Amino acid sequence: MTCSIKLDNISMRYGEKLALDDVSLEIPEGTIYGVLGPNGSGKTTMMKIILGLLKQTRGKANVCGYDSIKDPLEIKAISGYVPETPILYESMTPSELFSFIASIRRIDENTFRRRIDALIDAFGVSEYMNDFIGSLSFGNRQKIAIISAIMHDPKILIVDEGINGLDPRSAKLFKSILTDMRDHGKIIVFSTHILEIAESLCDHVAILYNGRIVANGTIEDLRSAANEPSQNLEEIFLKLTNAEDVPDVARYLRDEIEH
Amino acid sequence: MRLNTKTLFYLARRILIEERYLALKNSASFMSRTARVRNKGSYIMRFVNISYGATSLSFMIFSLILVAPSLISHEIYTLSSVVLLLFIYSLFINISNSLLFFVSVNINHILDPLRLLPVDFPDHVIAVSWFIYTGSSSLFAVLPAVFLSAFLLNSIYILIVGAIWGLFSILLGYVIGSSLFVAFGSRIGGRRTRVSSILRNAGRVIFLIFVFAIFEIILYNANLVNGVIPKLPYPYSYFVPVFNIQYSLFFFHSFYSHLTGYFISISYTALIGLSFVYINRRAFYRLIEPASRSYGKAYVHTITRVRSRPFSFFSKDLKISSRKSQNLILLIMPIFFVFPTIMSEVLYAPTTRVDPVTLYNAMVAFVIVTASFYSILFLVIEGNGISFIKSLPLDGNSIIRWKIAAPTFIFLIIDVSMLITISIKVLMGTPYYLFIMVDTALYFVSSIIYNMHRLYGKIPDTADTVNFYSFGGQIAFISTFAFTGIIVGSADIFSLAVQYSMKLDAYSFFAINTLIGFIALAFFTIRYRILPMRPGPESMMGSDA
Repeated sequence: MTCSIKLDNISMRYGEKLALDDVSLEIPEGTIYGVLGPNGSGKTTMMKIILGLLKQTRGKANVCGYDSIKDPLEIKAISGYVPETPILYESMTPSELFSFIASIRRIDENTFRRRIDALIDAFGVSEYMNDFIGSLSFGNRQKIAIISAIMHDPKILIVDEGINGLDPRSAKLFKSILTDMRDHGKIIVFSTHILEIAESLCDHVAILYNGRIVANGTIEDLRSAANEPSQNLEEIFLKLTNAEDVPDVARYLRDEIEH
Repeated sequence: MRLNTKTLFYLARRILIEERYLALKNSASFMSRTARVRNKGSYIMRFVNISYGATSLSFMIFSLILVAPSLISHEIYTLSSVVLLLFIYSLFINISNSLLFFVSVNINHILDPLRLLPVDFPDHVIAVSWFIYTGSSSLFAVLPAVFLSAFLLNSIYILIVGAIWGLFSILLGYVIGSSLFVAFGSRIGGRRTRVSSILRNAGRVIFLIFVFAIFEIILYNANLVNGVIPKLPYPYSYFVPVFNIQYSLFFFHSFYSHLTGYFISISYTALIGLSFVYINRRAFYRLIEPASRSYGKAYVHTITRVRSRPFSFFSKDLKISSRKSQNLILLIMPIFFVFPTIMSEVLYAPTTRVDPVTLYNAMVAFVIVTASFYSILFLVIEGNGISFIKSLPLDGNSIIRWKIAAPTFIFLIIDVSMLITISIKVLMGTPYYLFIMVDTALYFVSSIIYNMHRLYGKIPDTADTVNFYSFGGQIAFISTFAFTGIIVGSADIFSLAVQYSMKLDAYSFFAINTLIGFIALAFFTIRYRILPMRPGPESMMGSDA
């Protein structure tokens, strides 16, 4: 069975604030889909709707044949989620947390042990397995969150700024894992503020601005949309999100500081 | 660069405001109140001042209530014992408050921003902050009693030496509290050691029970006070710290004994002052040194096992509820609420034979308080983890189904221990004790299923965290107590009514109550689908096969 993500005219309202405004997109299997946008543009809201963590105000979200409102548990069973900030039980050890997740996700003992041994070794966190998660550095907690999200080999992986805080080796490893998952037909929805990473990693990119998708396609498509064939993703992003005045603002700040 | 006195006091105030703000910031009521306030900074300071005033006032009232009977009856010996107990109380409060203050400053990394500044911070900044806004309030627990005693006995000596001992109890409390922090402060800052974790937590529980037991005893049987205080013979009565307060304040009548009293109180206070200088420095450097990170050790292969879902949930809930001091305190809180009821109705009963229905009615209060409190607490302990749990393939029914195990387990331990303890004094016959155990368990589980279900539904989908205010603050507490009271109380009243109207014996009361208990449990189990009707969604990648 093929697996894809399809959002149809999704809108999400928090009280008076419209966080997502009529968003539609389709992500086929075997894709790393980058979601870019300034802070507060609706990236996390969109990702949580895909996961069934939030119920949209309007529209339909279909994830591998499951409706996000009717079948959120089925979606969660085939998904993994790496949040922007690793939110984990601080008074548990990584070892206890992984056991807990394996029990909830009903991963069999042998598979669990093999995968966990491989993952903790690869991410270099094996020496922290008996430490309280609350005592680990941000980067190590992020690694624990990543392992928690991929240990059941999900069909869909949602990564919300998940590379933040990783050391270069772990970031490189994580990117390799993502491309490997993509090559095995999985869907990765990936948001980042580091546009170089998006440019090098993502097959498709959507730029969200004020809750609306202002651009959607491959990097080449975006260049065409911005009418700037030679520009890099950062310049396209700044243009599409009305942030082209950044150099002027920086110059103004320098003047103010110097005088 | 060293700080001047004005900046030191500013900093002391800043640390306290930060500590209080972090405790309050996620509460809905705090956020809604501060949203309406223009000057948010002064609002928090006002809040700190009001809290300090309220604490001091409650200490003062507590102190006056305790000493009033012996002041009126001019019983100097009882008065001296009560005053001593107030000093012991003040000491425990100061130990507890100073330890919690250090832990809070440490966990929340409140001193971290200061470490970046090019200033040589004085090591007593934490002590000043704690003393001004927390420690000094304990003086209101002892000084009114000392003042009234001095007035009654027309003795300026009592007033002066009492004030010195008041200062002594604050300093000693701080020294012990900060020593405990130096010794155990890295609890969440390193490796998990099963035995030491258990020992430390057991120590905390015993300490808390001890502190509360002192209150309960003096509140419910003031005459016990004289018997509780050890009668130390001379010269120990002059020299054993804290216990010598009673003698040095009240039983030194001559000029020379007054001189000795001044000497002893000033010497002890000076000695503890020197200890303060030493231990305070160690505690402060413990706070500002970045020692809370774990740097790992050689990997020792741990046995990580995949368990059943219910067991893994149970195990997780037990771990996260018992490894944080604040959760541990909340876990045993219901005992303190109902202890007086059970003490007054059972333990102070004139005879050793108690009507089993009376004992059950006393235990009903324990069931209501515990079921209400644990329903909220075991959802709240999820904290930020609620968003993590929500990302797993679990529905609300499954979460509640598995969540009732840990509170029920803890409830049963306390319930059975209580009944065994009571059975030592109260002779009633094993069948009655068994009935009470079964009934309390049945009504506890029924109430917790209902309450947890109701409260879980109140957590919004957008919630990234859950705390006591997620369910509506005080109103949630009141409604949860009310619903539990209706469930447990209506069955109790109905059984009593049937027993009295038909003139049945106590066994009939329990038989009817147990029957209703089973019906109630069956109803809530079916109503909220606590027994799984169909298997939940599996991980599609459960195995590589």
